[in-house]
Amino acid sequence: MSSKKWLIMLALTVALALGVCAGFNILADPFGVFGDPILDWYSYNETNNPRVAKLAWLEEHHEEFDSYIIGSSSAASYSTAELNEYLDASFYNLFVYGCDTKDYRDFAAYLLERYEVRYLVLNLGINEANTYDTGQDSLNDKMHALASGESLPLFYLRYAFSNPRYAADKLAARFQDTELPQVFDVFDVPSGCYDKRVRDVEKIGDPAVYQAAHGGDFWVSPDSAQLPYIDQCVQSVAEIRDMCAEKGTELIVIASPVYIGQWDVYSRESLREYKSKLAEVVSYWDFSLTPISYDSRYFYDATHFRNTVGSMVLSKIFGSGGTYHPEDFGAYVTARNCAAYLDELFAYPPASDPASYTADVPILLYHHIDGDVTSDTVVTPETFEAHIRALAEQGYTAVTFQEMIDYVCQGGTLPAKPVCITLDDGYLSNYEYAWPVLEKYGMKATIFAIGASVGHREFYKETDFPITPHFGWEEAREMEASGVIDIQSHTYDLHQWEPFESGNQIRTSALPLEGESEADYAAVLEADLERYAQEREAELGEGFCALAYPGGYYNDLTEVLIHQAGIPVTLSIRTDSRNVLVRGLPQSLYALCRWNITERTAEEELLKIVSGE
Amino acid sequence: MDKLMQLLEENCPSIDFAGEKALIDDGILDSLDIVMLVGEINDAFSITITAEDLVPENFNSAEAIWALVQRLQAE
Amino acid sequence: MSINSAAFLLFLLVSVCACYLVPKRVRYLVLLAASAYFYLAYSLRAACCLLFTILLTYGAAQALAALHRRERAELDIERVDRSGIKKHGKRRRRLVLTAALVLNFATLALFKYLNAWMGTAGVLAGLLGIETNFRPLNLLLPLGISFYVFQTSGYLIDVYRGRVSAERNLLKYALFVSWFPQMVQGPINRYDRLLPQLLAGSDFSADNIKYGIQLMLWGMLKKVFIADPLAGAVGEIYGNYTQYPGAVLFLGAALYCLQLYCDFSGGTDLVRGASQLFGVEMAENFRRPYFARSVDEFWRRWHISLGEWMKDYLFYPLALSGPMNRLGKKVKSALGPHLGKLTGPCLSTLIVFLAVGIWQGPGFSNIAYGLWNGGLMSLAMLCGPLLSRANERLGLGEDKWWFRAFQTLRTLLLVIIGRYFSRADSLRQALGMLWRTVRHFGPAGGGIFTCFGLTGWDWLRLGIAAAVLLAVSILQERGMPIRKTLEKQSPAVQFGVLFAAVLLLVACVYLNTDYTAIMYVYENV
Repeated sequence: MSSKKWLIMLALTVALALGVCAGFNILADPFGVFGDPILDWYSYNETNNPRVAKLAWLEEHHEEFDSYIIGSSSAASYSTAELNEYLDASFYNLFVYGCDTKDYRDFAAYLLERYEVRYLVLNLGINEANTYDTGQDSLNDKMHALASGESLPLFYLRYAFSNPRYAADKLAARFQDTELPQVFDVFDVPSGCYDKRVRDVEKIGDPAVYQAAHGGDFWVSPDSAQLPYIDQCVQSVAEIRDMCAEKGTELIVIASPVYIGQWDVYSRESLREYKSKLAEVVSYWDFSLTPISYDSRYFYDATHFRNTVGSMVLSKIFGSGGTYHPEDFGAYVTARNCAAYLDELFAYPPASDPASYTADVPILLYHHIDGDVTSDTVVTPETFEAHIRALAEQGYTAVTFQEMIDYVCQGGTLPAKPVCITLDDGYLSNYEYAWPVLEKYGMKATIFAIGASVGHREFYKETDFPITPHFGWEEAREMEASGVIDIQSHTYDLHQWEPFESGNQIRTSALPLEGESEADYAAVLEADLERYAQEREAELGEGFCALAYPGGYYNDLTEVLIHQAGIPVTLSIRTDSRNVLVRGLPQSLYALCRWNITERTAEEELLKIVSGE
Repeated sequence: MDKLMQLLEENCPSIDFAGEKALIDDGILDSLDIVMLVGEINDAFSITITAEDLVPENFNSAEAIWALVQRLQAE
Repeated sequence: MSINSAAFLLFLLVSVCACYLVPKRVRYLVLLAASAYFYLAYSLRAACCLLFTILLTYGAAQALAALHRRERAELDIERVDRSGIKKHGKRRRRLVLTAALVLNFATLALFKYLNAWMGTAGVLAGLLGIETNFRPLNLLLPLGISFYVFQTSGYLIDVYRGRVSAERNLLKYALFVSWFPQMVQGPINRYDRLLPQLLAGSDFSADNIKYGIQLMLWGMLKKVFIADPLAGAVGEIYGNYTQYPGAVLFLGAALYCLQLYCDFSGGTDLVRGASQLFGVEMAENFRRPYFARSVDEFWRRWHISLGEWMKDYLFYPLALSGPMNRLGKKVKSALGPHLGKLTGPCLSTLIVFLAVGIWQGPGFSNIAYGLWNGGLMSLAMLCGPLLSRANERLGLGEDKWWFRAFQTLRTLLLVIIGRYFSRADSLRQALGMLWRTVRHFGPAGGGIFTCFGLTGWDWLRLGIAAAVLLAVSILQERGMPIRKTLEKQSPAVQFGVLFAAVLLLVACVYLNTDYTAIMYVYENV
């Protein structure tokens, strides 16, 4: 081969190799630039670069929407479903992480110029005045050329010849994809919000536990006491306001809730300047500093408020009661009331006393009551009575799960010294001994009955294996009617007793079986919940609101599926934290701890458990 | 010249000074050899070879070295 | 513009085209423009620094040339006191040279050593109870300063010695100093070898382009596939040396040998290849140094251009200087002729390697590294006759392959020990690592298998590349001209190699483009 020939071959091969790379990039399309022709996996693409992938996706789907949310990652906490309901609109959440107000302006211009827009919700944090036009040029941060005005051919070329590792990563991730979000697919594509299903089943309550798990997330670097970009930020908002006015779009500006640690980073002067300059150009809802700002449990981390807080905000603006929010929560700020409002705001309302919005509810766990104590799940009638008497004498009031739900979700109240008594499995002995004792001392209890065992007095299900007798729906009705006993779910049939079962799909807990697909598992779990609810409704008049996990076993997917099915309370048998219910935080009802009480538990010990000392 | 050849062969008995014409360029003489040789030559002919003279052209062959010695003696 | 980035390749393509499109007479201007662009794209401040060196050495060389001319003119007239004129002339020239060299090396010292040395001085002053408030200066080391300061100093000394005549055209001289391929990792080129090529303007030759590209690809293989991933593993081991057993530390030093060689020689191949595209051959800097059979030979195969520079401009002047001569004579009369003869060379060697150590960096570990090498070589000189006599007695000769292998391994071991010093952040760390290697060689219970921060794929890629490197090096060591041999193969084989090379090229470019794994893109769900 002569040198000339060699060079020609080299050029050809290089061209071929680049062609192959570009083809691979376009087909796998890890940024969603080319319409993701094969995988159609926008949750991944948006994670890789939301600025590019969301706009590319909207190009195809804009007809499904008439209203948009613009903001940085904290705007992800506004539910489009709630907004749709409040405003009878169809919202798309076009928030993008790491966004600054220049991006907001570009997004707004893009939307208003191309599409019909009824409502535009603009979310502004305080960090929005701390950065401006950080527009980075990396593939992960670039704005789509459609909105930035950059040359489209160059834009496509850059993505076509991007590092093929991005495309390879996407293919690899496809094989690890699961039902639940992972680091590579964090978006809920149809709404544009983050998919926080897993994040929002985290059990929250005990402040010590929360601090241990999240202390680091609330560390803020005191790097800048001034807000350097107030004018640019306000200018962008003014431009957005004018564009909206021109197109007849209603602009709703929300100053989002801020964690106190983040608030304190900036000087009061610059915060005040920011807020008042903003009020000069646009009227806005201000939720920045409210009673919830003082409690980190309402935040994912220093700069992101929780979805549930997003619901509070929307409820305050558009709702008519129903959803809990603190009384002194948010205000509508206009150029006229601004000065007075800010005077009040900067008087720094003191943090409210946690006792006013949290409650520690210990939950006790009993099973069978019998004179013959064979294990730690059996107590004698005498001991049971001694326990209940001790609680009553110490002034404890028994509460039901419905009362706890009302407290958390609707702002209901709980007694001063609440305790929750539960009995698992649904034994006849509960009817025979526990019920009369509870009634005698004016206490209440919840029985978690196994649906498949209700009414089985002699034999395990349809077998001839003898079992401890369980009460039937007849007794259940009688007990509920007295107002003393509440029957909840211990699953319909996910608490099987392995030695008595035949077949190979034995479910001893609510966990998935080994090797079971997520879809199969979800179907089984949902069918079980449905069956229990139906049977209970037929026998007792309504469905259930609490589920105690058999054996205390569950995983993220179990929790996601159960809360998705509308069951607000789940219970474990862990004892590693206190059950601190927090108003407005549904997660404080998740995987509640329960203390197993045995025959050997003395009254003093019981009272110690209950008081948490 | 004979005196020089004798001196060279005494110091580096393994090198064929009569035949080699590229003592430096072919790496036959290393820097240690050169420094030691220069010392001997300086003493033997009462001259001072300096670093400036240490270029390959002056050391590639016995003849070149001899030429250098003569030139320095003349000065 | 990193030399293995797509931007650099584009820059090369444009400059090569421009170079061959203009007439030969002015081609050097294109090369100069390309070099200026390359350097300015790096940093304007650094370019000012480079310009200072160019002007300083240019001016000094002109002054030296003028003094030469004046001396010759005076000699033409004066017939009597010729040696007086020579002596006088030499003194004046020496003055100019010294002043220029001091200034030239001062810039290097300012950027490379000032902060570190002031810090050390501060600590020492603190020990003596003197308060100092020295704040480190914000100095970015200008690209290639270690190389061009040496290159220009060599040129000045050559002009002073009359070996070369000073270049009068400032632009041509500026090109010699700033020729961009040598700016990143050397080599230190010689004026009389480099500038004529830069000015000659060779004809376009497909061979040159091909060889240049091949050399660049070879360099990329070493740099991107071996050195870059190894840097992570080596950093992990050196950075956490207290957590690893001695065996791993030794492995780390050995891996660092490989990393440094691949990075340095790979980078050199890359820029030599780039230079060859323009028909300009630069000095060779490495000749498979790890096959050396003695430390002395190692230094004749490793960073050759620095070694040659040190030999010509430091070792000889030192070893042949008056004081060294006198010292040698004293030692001779006191301790015998053998030691007397070796005093000069040994002492000079030590000083030269002290300089090599300092050249590498300002720390004490670098000084220790230099002394280690200089010491080993001096020791070899002193014991040389003894050893060869012993070998003769034992019948050990270089005709036995296993004895040669033993020598290579022994040298390698000594070099690896040296690498403890050249990579460590401080002398204390180097000594600590050595101590652990000796005292805690084996793992303290449990396995030591870990990937040192790399993935299995990284190691596989690295292993394959290293195997190719080893095979090629052995063939080269046996005297096989690789590229010539390849050309004789069938077109299919040639095409296969070409195809692999292109894959390599594409992979190299992509490995060096920005990339963020998706797991790092998003952190706050």
